Amino acid sequence: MGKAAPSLKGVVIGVGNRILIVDDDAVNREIFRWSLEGLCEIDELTSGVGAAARIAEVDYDLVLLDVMMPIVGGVEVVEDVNRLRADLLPRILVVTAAMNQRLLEQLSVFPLAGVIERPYDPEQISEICAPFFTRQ
Amino acid sequence: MRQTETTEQRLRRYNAELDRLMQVGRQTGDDLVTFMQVAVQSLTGMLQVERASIWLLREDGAALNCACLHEAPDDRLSGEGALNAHDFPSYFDAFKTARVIAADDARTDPRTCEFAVGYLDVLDIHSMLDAQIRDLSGLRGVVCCEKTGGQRIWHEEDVAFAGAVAEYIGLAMELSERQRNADRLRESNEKLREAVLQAEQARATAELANRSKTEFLANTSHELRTPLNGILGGVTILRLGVGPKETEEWLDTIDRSGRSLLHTVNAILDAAALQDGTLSVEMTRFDIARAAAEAINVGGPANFRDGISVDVSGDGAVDVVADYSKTVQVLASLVENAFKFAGEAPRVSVGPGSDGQVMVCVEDDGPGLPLGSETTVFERFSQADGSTTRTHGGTGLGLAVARELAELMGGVLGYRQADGGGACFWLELPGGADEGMSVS
Repeated sequence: MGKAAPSLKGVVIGVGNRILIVDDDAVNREIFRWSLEGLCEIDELTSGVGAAARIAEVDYDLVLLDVMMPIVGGVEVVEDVNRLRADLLPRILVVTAAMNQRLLEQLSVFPLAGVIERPYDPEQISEICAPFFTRQ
Repeated sequence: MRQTETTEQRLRRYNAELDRLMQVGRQTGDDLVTFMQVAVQSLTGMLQVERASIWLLREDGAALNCACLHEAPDDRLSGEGALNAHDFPSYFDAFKTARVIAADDARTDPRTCEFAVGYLDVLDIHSMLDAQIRDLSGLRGVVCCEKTGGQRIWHEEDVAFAGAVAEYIGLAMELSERQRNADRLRESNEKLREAVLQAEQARATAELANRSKTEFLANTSHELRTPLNGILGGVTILRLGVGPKETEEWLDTIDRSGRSLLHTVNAILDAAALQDGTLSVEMTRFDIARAAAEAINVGGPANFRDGISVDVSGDGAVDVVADYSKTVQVLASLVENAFKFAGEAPRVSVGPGSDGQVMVCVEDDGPGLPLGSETTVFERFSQADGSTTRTHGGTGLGLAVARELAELMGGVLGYRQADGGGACFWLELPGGADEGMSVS
């Protein structure tokens, strides 16, 4: 794409960094792709189905996880990862367009990387994700 | 005649009668009135007196009310009249202190002489035999036996018999009261249980409504913010500058995100207007394929550019008579659902429906509806199963509003399972081919 290359001061960006985007909304995925292109290798899932197994199997540096998705939602994915590989929970960044107290309470018991709310500035995505890209 | 019977014969007769009264008491149960009637008849018969009555003490103890009177000569039962304590102080003192008043000569007996003028003389009563009625709470009244026409010397057995009958009456009153109390207790228990049940139901209903509202707000927020993300994100990306082809694509995405947002806002407003009954439709004649194509644009993902062709059976345009924007709204909800649940574009087809109607089918290859949810899915705030509500998103209004809109336009919105197992929602609208059809 013809966008300006993102510059991240003080962050060493290696080709080995891998990220998984789990989101049913195609536009959201496209905005993520646009923000992160060139920074890492991007995998995508369009729903939570199989997401937990994939997260446990592939050593992702970061997972951007939507909450409201068909069939298997984000909270269920978090719960499943907690069962399979609880040590990977700090690499999951939950992204939601429906932030509410109940959701925050549900998620508060897990040591997640964080919860961010849509709509967000696409420019901030790379900044938020950068700290997780630690591979050389 | 009985005058000649011995004391022993009399005792035997009285005892047999008391046994019988005991039986009667068991049969009448809490029917106190019947037992009292049997008792006064028993007294006149057994004691060979003309009058026997039962008087119950008023709660304040200041009067006796006649509950039941048997007049043997006419075999008449009645129950009227009252005696006030201040009119007959000696009698009240006497009957309250003595278990039995046996007055052979009632007109001279100090306990009963107050009745002499105006009562005993009028009725030609010579002897009185009165016995206290008591129950566990104390004195309740008096049994009164009166001999007319001549004096009667009361025997000890007579006194004992009258006393025993009075005791039975007291027992019957006690039982009847207990029964009444038990009934009242049971009744109030039932009422209480019912009230608890109602309160429980009300609480559950309120909780459900509250949860639906919370979920509705969360889901609505999700539905409104998702296209906003496309619009704001797209604008930021455009401002940063991308190539001409990408610019075109992002402009398209922004445009469609805006339409999608409008669709959601319309669905919420329509839902409110339908609830108030203030929603009106504007019926026109139009090509259903055109509405279906627009619905695909609105209901599909904002960056979906493959396009879906509307498969029209037969040749040429198929006209319907309906509200154009509401038809788009209904079909967009179906397309949106198909993308959401199947994860890919549905097949949209137009064909003839029943009775000259036109049918549009939106069919996908998703999981279809779970068995049993074919009707509940059209209810407000209900998705196929509770567990999917929070994960699938959607306002929970889409299909409910779509069906109500369809019905407002004289159409029908229904569901059947697609041949491949996916979902197939169909919309039937009045056909526009008939020239006689009125078009506004």
